[in-house]
Amino acid sequence: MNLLCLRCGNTTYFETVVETVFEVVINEDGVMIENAVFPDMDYTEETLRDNLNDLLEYTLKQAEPDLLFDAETETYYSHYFQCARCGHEKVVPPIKPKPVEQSLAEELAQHREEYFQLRKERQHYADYLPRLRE
Amino acid sequence: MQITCPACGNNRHFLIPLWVRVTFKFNEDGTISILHVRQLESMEDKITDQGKTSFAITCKECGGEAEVVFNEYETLTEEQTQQAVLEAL
Repeated sequence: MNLLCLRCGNTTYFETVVETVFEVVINEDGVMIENAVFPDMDYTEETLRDNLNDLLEYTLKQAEPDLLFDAETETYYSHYFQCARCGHEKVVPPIKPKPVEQSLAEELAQHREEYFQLRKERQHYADYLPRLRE
Repeated sequence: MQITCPACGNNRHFLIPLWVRVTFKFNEDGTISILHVRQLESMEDKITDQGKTSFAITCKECGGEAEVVFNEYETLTEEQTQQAVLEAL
């Protein structure tokens, strides 16, 4: 779940506005607009997908002060996305609770042996370094 | 109307930036599928605004800024107009 509509609870369908590049082709039939295709890539498609992914990643990484505040629901929402189901403009990146982590002391105790092994290995390699000077 | 590139002389293929509204969905595997793309700006407006905004029509071949001439017959003399008409016939 990446985005959530505050009105209908939709987490799947959304809309946004992005910029892309098309090709203007002038021929005997007139002026036509088509996808800008280069020999190795469809530039229109590539730009569209990249811009959409960039916008989405930016929105998900935004901190609360960069989002707009909704006093009604007391939540912060992004103004870049709209719900495609109900057309509501208040779409939020949902809050993901952090997984419960063990305390630092427990974590250190758990990996104590592994750490000592690592130190021994370092000592071993230090003893067998090539001697540059006698 | 004529669109030409003053740098390389190309008069066929140009690139134009346009804003589009994208409807998409999140798939269960975390990827995105695009469902619909709708153009928000008209090409006519963009061509009319050429030279007035920084979002310009550029040449596909060399990347240079294109030049739009709306009435290429405007600067022709009467003799040149007659010649162009005869050539067209």
